[in-house]
Amino acid sequence: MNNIDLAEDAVLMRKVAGGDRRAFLSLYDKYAARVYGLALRVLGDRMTAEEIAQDAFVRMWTRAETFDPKRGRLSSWLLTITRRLALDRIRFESRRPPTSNYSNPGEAPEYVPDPASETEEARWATLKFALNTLPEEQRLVIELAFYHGMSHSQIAEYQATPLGTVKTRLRLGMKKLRLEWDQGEKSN
Amino acid sequence: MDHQAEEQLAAYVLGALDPEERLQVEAHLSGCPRCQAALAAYEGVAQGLLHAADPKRPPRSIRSNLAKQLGKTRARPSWRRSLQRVPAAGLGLAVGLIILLTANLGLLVQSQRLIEQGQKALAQQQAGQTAVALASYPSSQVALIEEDGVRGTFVYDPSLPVAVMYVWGLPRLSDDQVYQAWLVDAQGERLNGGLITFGADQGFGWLMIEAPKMMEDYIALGVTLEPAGGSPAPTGPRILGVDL
Ligand SMILES: [Zn+2]
Repeated sequence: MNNIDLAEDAVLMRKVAGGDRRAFLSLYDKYAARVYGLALRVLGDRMTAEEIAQDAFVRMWTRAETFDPKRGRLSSWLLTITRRLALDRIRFESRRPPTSNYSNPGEAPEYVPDPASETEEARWATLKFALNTLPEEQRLVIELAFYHGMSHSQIAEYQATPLGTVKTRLRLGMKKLRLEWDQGEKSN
Repeated sequence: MDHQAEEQLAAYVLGALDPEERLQVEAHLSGCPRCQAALAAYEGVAQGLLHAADPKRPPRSIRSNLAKQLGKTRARPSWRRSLQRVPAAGLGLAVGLIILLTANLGLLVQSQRLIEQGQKALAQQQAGQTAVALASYPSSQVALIEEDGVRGTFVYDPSLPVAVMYVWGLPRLSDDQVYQAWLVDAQGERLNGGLITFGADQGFGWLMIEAPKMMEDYIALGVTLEPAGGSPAPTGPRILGVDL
């Protein structure tokens, strides 16, 4: 996402904080696919994911004044809210993560034009690729923690694996992802 | 702790730490620029993971539901909305606790003085000691703060008048603003809980609260944005809230 685009988001969010519906809906159109995609990734079923996506945007409306463009981009803020709401729902319903293939929920991803610029998009794509090429056991541990809200010890129990092993896998996997991320920064 | 925390930062950003580990990491982070820098790098990875889910177009109905709902949800959510009184443990003050309490109060008073004297690093160390000590009390409660990109931990004991909070990711302040905490009692009265102290880059903030009553007499903690120096009663927007 280029700077003009970031500035545009900030301006729109100020309008949203002031109660501007059109500004809200234009941000909705820009980010709804990302928000819904993440909710679906965490929850695995459409109906709940739709509720969560809707809740996330209601929050964007009611809490717009707390968004600070200096602390990060709007998509991150909105997706953080989405993840939090989705994880709360998982905890509330004490759901277990779907056991098979939950990094690719069933179907091929549809093409949705992304608001991010090419460099930003490239960086996310690199990270996604890095995640998918991690050794399976490292990737799973990271996904269970981040997308399913499980702690070290919950993962150990869930996978019937020693706690120390879980910690090591998580740390090694994240180290690689961080390396990829840092390299992306340098090449930008 | 000596940068042991650095090892745990990856798990911290993923939310994989248990509450006590998390508190230890935060206590260390609040005073360690090196680990704060490492945290920023891992935060980048976490943001990447947020964007790694495949985008998918939601059904049109969500957009129209929202458009209909907008007018009705304008009101800023109030603290009282989700407040629920959790029965406190009802534990009396055992002798050991009184000793610990006295030690903590001593640290608190000192800590306030150190902040006033600009000795943030020392004050931060004491906040960390108090937090970790508090967390080891048998009846202490750890409330996780996670909303809108703000993360933190609030540790308190219902039967003690002290509490420690760590927060990370609050919107950046300008020079004439502060974050002020409020303790809310069952009557809805808001009591000044003090100003959040920040380290060098405003990334990581902490607060030690010395309340006039035991923490079990409060039902929530809220943080608002206030003009420099703080206010006698909340005037600015609510930034976050924790139910106790
Ligand atoms: Zn450190």
